[in-house]
Amino acid sequence: MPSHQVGRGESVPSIAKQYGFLWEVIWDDPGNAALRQKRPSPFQLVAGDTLVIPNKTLREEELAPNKTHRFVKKSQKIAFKLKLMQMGEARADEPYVLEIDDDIFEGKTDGEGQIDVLIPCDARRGKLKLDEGREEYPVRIGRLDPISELTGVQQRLSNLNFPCGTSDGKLSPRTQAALRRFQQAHRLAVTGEADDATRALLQSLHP
Amino acid sequence: MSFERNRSFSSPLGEFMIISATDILRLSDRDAAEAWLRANVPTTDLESEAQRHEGSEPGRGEDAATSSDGSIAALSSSLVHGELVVVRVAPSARVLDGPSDGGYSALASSLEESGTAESSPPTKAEEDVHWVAVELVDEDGAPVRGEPYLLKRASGQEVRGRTDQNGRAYVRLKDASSSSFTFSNLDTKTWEAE
Repeated sequence: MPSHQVGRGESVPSIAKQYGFLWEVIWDDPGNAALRQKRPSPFQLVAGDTLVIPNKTLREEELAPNKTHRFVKKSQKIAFKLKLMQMGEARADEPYVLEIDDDIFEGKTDGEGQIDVLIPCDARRGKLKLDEGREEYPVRIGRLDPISELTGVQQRLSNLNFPCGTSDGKLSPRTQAALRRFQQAHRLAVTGEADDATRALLQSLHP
Repeated sequence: MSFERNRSFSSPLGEFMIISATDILRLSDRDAAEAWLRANVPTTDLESEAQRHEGSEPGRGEDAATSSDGSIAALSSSLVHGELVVVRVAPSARVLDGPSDGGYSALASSLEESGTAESSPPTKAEEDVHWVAVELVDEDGAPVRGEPYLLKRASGQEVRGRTDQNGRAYVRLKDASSSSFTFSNLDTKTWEAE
Protein backbone atom coordinates (compact mmCIF):
# COMPACT_ATOMS: atom_id res chain seq x y z
CA MET A 1 0.00 0.00 0.00
CA PRO A 2 1.39 3.46 -0.78
CA SER A 3 2.35 5.81 2.00
CA HIS A 4 2.84 9.53 2.44
CA GLN A 5 5.69 11.18 4.32
CA VAL A 6 4.10 14.03 6.28
CA GLY A 7 5.46 17.48 5.55
CA ARG A 8 5.43 20.61 7.72
CA GLY A 9 1.93 22.02 8.06
CA GLU A 10 0.16 18.90 6.80
CA SER A 11 -2.66 17.13 8.61
CA VAL A 12 -4.62 13.98 7.84
CA PRO A 13 -7.49 16.02 6.29
CA SER A 14 -5.17 18.04 4.03
CA ILE A 15 -3.37 14.87 2.87
CA ALA A 16 -6.69 13.03 2.38
CA LYS A 17 -7.97 15.79 0.08
CA GLN A 18 -4.80 15.55 -1.98
CA TYR A 19 -5.36 11.79 -2.49
CA GLY A 20 -9.15 12.01 -3.06
CA PHE A 21 -10.32 10.49 0.22
CA LEU A 22 -12.45 11.53 3.16
CA TRP A 23 -9.94 11.96 5.97
CA GLU A 24 -11.72 9.44 8.20
CA VAL A 25 -11.14 6.69 5.62
CA ILE A 26 -7.37 7.20 5.74
CA TRP A 27 -7.16 7.79 9.50
CA ASP A 28 -9.28 4.72 10.35
CA ASP A 29 -7.37 2.41 8.01
CA PRO A 30 -5.76 -0.48 9.94
CA GLY A 31 -2.44 0.44 8.35
CA ASN A 32 -2.43 3.65 10.41
CA ALA A 33 -3.12 1.98 13.79
CA ALA A 34 0.43 2.59 15.06
CA LEU A 35 0.34 6.24 14.01
CA ARG A 36 -3.02 6.72 15.77
CA GLN A 37 -1.41 5.39 18.96
CA LYS A 38 1.48 7.81 18.61
CA ARG A 39 -0.52 10.88 17.48
CA PRO A 40 -3.92 11.08 19.14
CA SER A 41 -5.12 13.91 16.87
CA PRO A 42 -5.31 13.63 13.05
CA PHE A 43 -4.82 17.40 13.01
CA GLN A 44 -1.49 17.27 14.85
CA LEU A 45 1.00 15.17 12.93
CA VAL A 46 4.73 15.81 12.94
CA ALA A 47 6.85 16.33 9.82
CA GLY A 48 8.43 12.98 8.99
CA ASP A 49 5.50 10.85 10.19
CA THR A 50 4.38 8.20 7.70
CA LEU A 51 0.71 7.91 6.77
CA VAL A 52 -0.52 4.82 4.93
CA ILE A 53 -2.78 5.64 1.95
CA PRO A 54 -5.32 2.85 1.38
CA ASN A 55 -6.33 1.65 -2.06
CA LYS A 56 -9.10 3.71 -3.59
CA THR A 57 -12.56 2.31 -4.28
CA LEU A 58 -14.02 3.93 -7.37
CA ARG A 59 -17.73 4.61 -7.76
CA GLU A 60 -19.25 3.74 -11.12
CA GLU A 61 -22.34 5.69 -12.19
CA GLU A 62 -24.54 4.68 -15.13
CA LEU A 63 -25.27 7.84 -17.13
CA ALA A 64 -28.30 8.05 -19.39
CA PRO A 65 -27.61 9.94 -22.64
CA ASN A 66 -28.87 13.41 -23.58
CA LYS A 67 -28.99 14.50 -19.99
CA THR A 68 -26.87 16.53 -17.57
CA HIS A 69 -25.97 14.58 -14.43
CA ARG A 70 -25.13 16.60 -11.35
CA PHE A 71 -22.84 15.33 -8.61
CA VAL A 72 -21.72 16.75 -5.30
CA LYS A 73 -18.20 16.46 -3.96
CA LYS A 74 -18.02 16.50 -0.19
CA SER A 75 -16.18 19.58 0.98
CA GLN A 76 -14.60 18.17 4.17
CA LYS A 77 -14.52 21.44 6.03
CA ILE A 78 -12.88 21.45 9.43
CA ALA A 79 -13.57 23.48 12.55
CA PHE A 80 -11.16 26.31 13.22
CA LYS A 81 -11.26 27.55 16.80
CA LEU A 82 -9.40 30.45 18.32
CA LYS A 83 -9.67 32.03 21.75
CA LEU A 84 -8.63 35.64 22.22
CA MET A 85 -7.28 36.72 25.59
CA GLN A 86 -5.81 39.97 26.83
CA MET A 87 -4.08 40.26 30.21
CA GLY A 88 -5.71 37.00 31.24
CA GLU A 89 -9.20 38.18 30.30
CA ALA A 90 -11.27 36.88 27.40
CA ARG A 91 -11.77 39.40 24.58
CA ALA A 92 -15.51 38.87 24.49
CA ASP A 93 -17.78 40.38 21.78
CA GLU A 94 -14.71 41.63 19.91
CA PRO A 95 -15.36 42.34 16.20
CA TYR A 96 -12.95 40.46 13.95
CA VAL A 97 -12.14 39.81 10.32
CA LEU A 98 -10.54 36.45 9.62
CA GLU A 99 -9.13 35.83 6.15
CA ILE A 100 -8.37 32.18 5.36
CA ASP A 101 -7.23 31.56 1.79
CA ASP A 102 -10.12 32.98 -0.31
CA ASP A 103 -12.68 32.97 2.51
CA ILE A 104 -13.38 36.01 4.64
CA PHE A 105 -15.18 35.56 7.95
CA GLU A 106 -16.49 38.61 9.77
CA GLY A 107 -18.12 38.52 13.15
CA LYS A 108 -17.71 39.01 16.86
CA THR A 109 -16.04 36.69 19.36
CA ASP A 110 -18.47 34.96 21.71
CA GLY A 111 -18.78 35.63 25.46
CA GLU A 112 -15.59 33.63 26.07
CA GLY A 113 -13.57 35.40 23.40
CA GLN A 114 -13.82 32.49 20.97
CA ILE A 115 -13.99 32.34 17.19
CA ASP A 116 -15.39 29.13 15.73
CA VAL A 117 -15.66 28.82 11.93
CA LEU A 118 -15.56 26.07 9.29
CA ILE A 119 -12.65 26.26 6.86
CA PRO A 120 -11.38 24.11 3.96
CA CYS A 121 -9.39 21.14 5.27
CA ASP A 122 -6.35 22.08 3.21
CA ALA A 123 -6.23 25.74 4.29
CA ARG A 124 -2.69 26.71 5.27
CA ARG A 125 -2.58 30.32 6.28
CA GLY A 126 -4.60 33.42 6.96
CA LYS A 127 -4.82 36.72 8.76
CA LEU A 128 -6.77 37.84 11.79
CA LYS A 129 -7.65 41.52 12.02
CA LEU A 130 -8.93 43.11 15.20
CA ASP A 131 -9.72 46.64 16.32
CA GLU A 132 -10.76 47.67 12.78
CA GLY A 133 -7.49 46.46 11.31
CA ARG A 134 -5.21 48.19 13.82
CA GLU A 135 -4.19 44.76 15.14
CA GLU A 136 -3.25 42.11 12.60
CA TYR A 137 -1.97 38.61 13.31
CA PRO A 138 -0.78 35.97 10.88
CA VAL A 139 -2.56 32.62 11.24
CA ARG A 140 -0.82 29.39 10.28
CA ILE A 141 -2.98 26.30 10.09
CA GLY A 142 -1.81 22.74 10.63
CA ARG A 143 1.46 23.85 12.21
CA LEU A 144 0.66 22.95 15.81
CA ASP A 145 2.70 19.95 16.94
CA PRO A 146 1.42 17.43 19.52
CA ILE A 147 2.10 18.23 23.17
CA SER A 148 4.37 15.16 23.30
CA GLU A 149 6.93 17.11 21.23
CA LEU A 150 8.97 19.92 22.79
CA THR A 151 8.08 22.03 19.75
CA GLY A 152 4.39 21.52 20.68
CA VAL A 153 5.17 22.75 24.21
CA GLN A 154 7.00 25.79 22.87
CA GLN A 155 4.21 26.66 20.40
CA ARG A 156 1.56 26.52 23.11
CA LEU A 157 3.63 28.57 25.56
CA SER A 158 4.23 31.25 22.94
CA ASN A 159 0.54 31.35 21.94
CA LEU A 160 -0.39 31.74 25.63
CA ASN A 161 1.96 34.73 25.91
CA PHE A 162 4.95 32.96 27.45
CA PRO A 163 7.24 33.53 24.48
CA CYS A 164 9.91 30.91 23.80
CA GLY A 165 11.42 32.45 20.67
CA THR A 166 11.71 29.97 17.82
CA SER A 167 9.86 26.69 18.38
CA ASP A 168 12.91 24.61 17.55
CA GLY A 169 12.52 21.70 19.98
CA LYS A 170 15.52 22.80 22.04
CA LEU A 171 15.31 23.46 25.77
CA SER A 172 17.01 26.83 25.44
CA PRO A 173 17.38 29.30 28.35
CA ARG A 174 14.50 31.29 26.86
CA THR A 175 12.23 28.22 26.73
CA GLN A 176 13.19 27.32 30.30
CA ALA A 177 12.37 30.86 31.43
CA ALA A 178 8.99 30.66 29.66
CA LEU A 179 8.29 27.31 31.34
CA ARG A 180 9.15 28.77 34.78
CA ARG A 181 6.87 31.78 34.22
CA PHE A 182 4.03 29.52 33.08
CA GLN A 183 4.50 27.16 36.05
CA GLN A 184 4.61 30.07 38.48
CA ALA A 185 1.49 31.69 37.00
CA HIS A 186 -0.43 28.40 37.32
CA ARG A 187 0.95 27.35 40.70
CA LEU A 188 2.79 24.31 39.42
CA ALA A 189 6.15 23.14 40.71
CA VAL A 190 8.65 25.55 39.14
CA THR A 191 11.12 23.25 37.43
CA GLY A 192 11.83 24.98 34.15
CA GLU A 193 11.25 21.56 32.56
CA ALA A 194 8.47 20.36 30.26
CA ASP A 195 7.30 17.86 32.87
CA ASP A 196 4.09 15.83 32.75
CA ALA A 197 2.03 18.23 34.89
CA THR A 198 3.09 21.19 32.75
CA ARG A 199 2.30 19.39 29.51
CA ALA A 200 -1.11 18.28 30.82
CA LEU A 201 -2.09 21.81 31.80
CA LEU A 202 -0.78 23.25 28.54
CA GLN A 203 -2.81 20.68 26.61
CA SER A 204 -6.01 21.50 28.49
CA LEU A 205 -5.54 25.26 28.01
CA HIS A 206 -4.44 24.93 24.38
CA PRO A 207 -5.73 21.61 22.90
CA MET B 1 -6.04 42.30 -10.19
CA SER B 2 -7.12 39.14 -11.97
CA PHE B 3 -10.42 38.05 -13.49
CA GLU B 4 -11.79 34.58 -13.59
CA ARG B 5 -12.05 33.91 -17.29
CA ASN B 6 -14.85 32.23 -19.20
CA ARG B 7 -17.36 32.74 -16.44
CA SER B 8 -20.30 35.13 -16.65
CA PHE B 9 -20.76 37.85 -14.06
CA SER B 10 -23.28 40.59 -13.43
CA SER B 11 -22.69 44.29 -13.68
CA PRO B 12 -25.08 47.26 -13.75
CA LEU B 13 -24.96 47.02 -17.57
CA GLY B 14 -25.97 43.37 -17.69
CA GLU B 15 -24.39 39.90 -17.79
CA PHE B 16 -20.81 39.81 -19.05
CA MET B 17 -18.14 37.25 -19.68
CA ILE B 18 -14.39 37.69 -19.96
CA ILE B 19 -13.18 35.15 -22.47
CA SER B 20 -9.64 33.95 -22.93
CA ALA B 21 -8.27 35.07 -26.31
CA THR B 22 -7.14 31.50 -26.91
CA ASP B 23 -10.78 30.41 -26.84
CA ILE B 24 -11.72 32.67 -29.76
CA LEU B 25 -11.19 31.02 -33.12
CA ARG B 26 -9.43 33.36 -35.58
CA LEU B 27 -10.85 33.07 -39.11
CA SER B 28 -8.78 35.30 -41.36
CA ASP B 29 -10.87 35.22 -44.55
CA ARG B 30 -14.10 33.94 -46.05
CA ASP B 31 -12.50 30.80 -47.46
CA ALA B 32 -11.13 29.81 -44.07
CA ALA B 33 -14.46 30.57 -42.41
CA GLU B 34 -16.41 28.57 -45.01
CA ALA B 35 -14.05 25.61 -44.76
CA TRP B 36 -14.33 25.57 -40.98
CA LEU B 37 -18.12 25.83 -41.04
CA ARG B 38 -18.48 23.02 -43.61
CA ALA B 39 -16.15 20.78 -41.62
CA ASN B 40 -17.58 21.35 -38.20
CA VAL B 41 -21.20 22.56 -38.15
CA PRO B 42 -24.21 20.42 -39.15
CA THR B 43 -26.16 21.89 -42.09
CA THR B 44 -29.36 22.23 -40.12
CA ASP B 45 -27.57 24.19 -37.43
CA LEU B 46 -26.03 26.44 -40.08
CA GLU B 47 -29.41 27.25 -41.55
CA SER B 48 -31.07 28.04 -38.26
CA GLU B 49 -28.07 30.09 -37.09
CA ALA B 50 -28.08 32.06 -40.33
CA GLN B 51 -31.82 32.61 -40.06
CA ARG B 52 -31.47 33.82 -36.48
CA HIS B 53 -28.62 36.19 -37.30
CA GLU B 54 -30.00 37.52 -40.57
CA GLY B 55 -33.58 37.72 -39.37
CA SER B 56 -33.01 41.19 -38.01
CA GLU B 57 -32.15 42.44 -41.49
CA PRO B 58 -35.31 42.49 -43.68
CA GLY B 59 -34.95 40.88 -47.09
CA ARG B 60 -31.87 38.77 -46.24
CA GLY B 61 -33.13 36.23 -43.74
CA GLU B 62 -35.38 34.27 -46.07
CA ASP B 63 -32.72 33.89 -48.75
CA ALA B 64 -30.08 32.85 -46.29
CA ALA B 65 -32.27 30.17 -44.78
CA THR B 66 -33.27 28.57 -48.05
CA SER B 67 -29.98 26.91 -48.89
CA SER B 68 -27.01 25.51 -47.08
CA ASP B 69 -24.59 27.36 -49.39
CA GLY B 70 -26.37 30.62 -48.73
CA SER B 71 -26.22 29.98 -45.01
CA ILE B 72 -22.51 29.27 -45.12
CA ALA B 73 -21.83 32.34 -47.22
CA ALA B 74 -23.84 34.57 -44.90
CA LEU B 75 -22.26 33.17 -41.74
CA SER B 76 -18.75 33.30 -43.21
CA SER B 77 -19.22 36.94 -44.07
CA SER B 78 -20.48 37.71 -40.57
CA LEU B 79 -17.57 35.84 -38.99
CA VAL B 80 -14.94 37.60 -41.08
CA HIS B 81 -16.50 41.02 -40.45
CA GLY B 82 -16.71 40.41 -36.70
CA GLU B 83 -20.50 40.44 -36.44
CA LEU B 84 -20.19 36.86 -35.19
CA VAL B 85 -17.32 35.18 -33.41
CA VAL B 86 -16.57 31.52 -32.78
CA VAL B 87 -15.82 30.83 -29.14
CA ARG B 88 -14.61 27.60 -27.62
CA VAL B 89 -17.04 26.97 -24.78
CA ALA B 90 -15.98 23.49 -23.76
CA PRO B 91 -12.23 23.11 -24.11
CA SER B 92 -12.22 19.82 -22.23
CA ALA B 93 -15.07 18.30 -24.21
CA ARG B 94 -14.21 15.11 -26.02
CA VAL B 95 -16.01 13.79 -29.05
CA LEU B 96 -16.64 10.08 -28.97
CA ASP B 97 -17.26 8.11 -32.14
CA GLY B 98 -17.50 11.18 -34.30
CA PRO B 99 -15.65 14.05 -35.99
CA SER B 100 -14.23 16.73 -33.74
CA ASP B 101 -15.93 20.09 -33.72
CA GLY B 102 -12.99 21.51 -31.79
CA GLY B 103 -15.36 22.56 -29.04
CA TYR B 104 -16.15 25.85 -30.79
CA SER B 105 -19.56 27.43 -31.10
CA ALA B 106 -20.68 30.37 -33.22
CA LEU B 107 -22.17 33.11 -31.09
CA ALA B 108 -23.38 36.58 -31.91
CA SER B 109 -20.71 38.99 -30.80
CA SER B 110 -23.28 41.07 -29.00
CA LEU B 111 -22.49 41.06 -25.29
CA GLU B 112 -26.17 40.60 -24.55
CA GLU B 113 -25.95 37.09 -25.91
CA SER B 114 -22.64 36.19 -24.36
CA GLY B 115 -24.39 34.58 -21.42
CA THR B 116 -25.08 31.59 -23.64
CA ALA B 117 -21.37 30.87 -23.92
CA GLU B 118 -21.39 28.19 -21.24
CA SER B 119 -20.00 24.72 -21.74
CA SER B 120 -23.50 23.32 -21.83
CA PRO B 121 -25.05 20.68 -24.04
CA PRO B 122 -26.65 21.77 -27.29
CA THR B 123 -30.16 23.12 -26.95
CA LYS B 124 -31.26 21.69 -30.32
CA ALA B 125 -30.06 18.12 -30.18
CA GLU B 126 -30.49 16.45 -33.54
CA GLU B 127 -31.92 12.95 -33.73
CA ASP B 128 -28.53 11.57 -34.70
CA VAL B 129 -26.52 13.67 -32.24
CA HIS B 130 -26.34 12.38 -28.70
CA TRP B 131 -24.42 13.60 -25.73
CA VAL B 132 -23.99 13.28 -22.02
CA ALA B 133 -22.97 16.00 -19.60
CA VAL B 134 -21.76 15.99 -16.02
CA GLU B 135 -21.58 18.78 -13.51
CA LEU B 136 -19.59 18.54 -10.27
CA VAL B 137 -20.17 21.03 -7.46
CA ASP B 138 -19.13 21.17 -3.82
CA GLU B 139 -21.54 21.22 -0.92
CA ASP B 140 -21.88 24.99 -1.25
CA GLY B 141 -22.84 24.62 -4.92
CA ALA B 142 -19.51 26.00 -6.20
CA PRO B 143 -18.09 24.31 -9.32
CA VAL B 144 -15.27 21.81 -8.81
CA ARG B 145 -12.75 22.48 -11.56
CA GLY B 146 -10.12 20.20 -13.03
CA GLU B 147 -11.47 16.96 -11.55
CA PRO B 148 -10.33 14.00 -13.68
CA TYR B 149 -13.07 11.73 -15.01
CA LEU B 150 -13.32 8.52 -17.01
CA LEU B 151 -16.31 7.71 -19.21
CA LYS B 152 -16.65 4.22 -20.67
CA ARG B 153 -18.91 3.19 -23.54
CA ALA B 154 -20.43 -0.25 -24.03
CA SER B 155 -18.16 -0.58 -27.09
CA GLY B 156 -15.15 -0.45 -24.78
CA GLN B 157 -14.14 3.04 -25.85
CA GLU B 158 -12.95 5.33 -23.07
CA VAL B 159 -12.95 9.10 -22.76
CA ARG B 160 -10.73 10.72 -20.15
CA GLY B 161 -10.82 14.38 -19.28
CA ARG B 162 -11.19 16.94 -16.52
CA THR B 163 -14.12 19.10 -15.52
CA ASP B 164 -13.86 22.59 -16.98
CA GLN B 165 -13.84 25.94 -15.20
CA ASN B 166 -17.57 25.58 -14.52
CA GLY B 167 -17.16 22.09 -13.08
CA ARG B 168 -18.65 20.56 -16.22
CA ALA B 169 -17.77 17.89 -18.72
CA TYR B 170 -19.57 17.26 -22.00
CA VAL B 171 -19.12 14.33 -24.35
CA ARG B 172 -20.82 13.81 -27.72
CA LEU B 173 -21.95 10.24 -28.35
CA LYS B 174 -22.61 8.30 -31.52
CA ASP B 175 -25.66 6.51 -30.17
CA ALA B 176 -28.17 6.87 -27.38
CA SER B 177 -26.85 4.11 -25.15
CA SER B 178 -25.88 4.85 -21.55
CA SER B 179 -22.29 5.24 -20.34
CA SER B 180 -20.37 4.18 -17.27
CA PHE B 181 -18.77 7.12 -15.49
CA THR B 182 -16.41 7.74 -12.60
CA PHE B 183 -14.30 10.53 -11.15
CA SER B 184 -11.03 8.68 -11.40
CA ASN B 185 -9.15 10.43 -8.57
CA LEU B 186 -11.95 10.31 -6.00
CA ASP B 187 -12.73 7.56 -3.55
CA THR B 188 -16.34 6.39 -3.64
CA LYS B 189 -17.23 8.09 -0.35
CA THR B 190 -16.20 11.57 -1.46
CA TRP B 191 -18.93 12.20 -4.08
CA GLU B 192 -22.53 11.30 -4.79
CA ALA B 193 -25.39 12.05 -7.14
CA GLU B 194 -27.35 15.15 -6.17
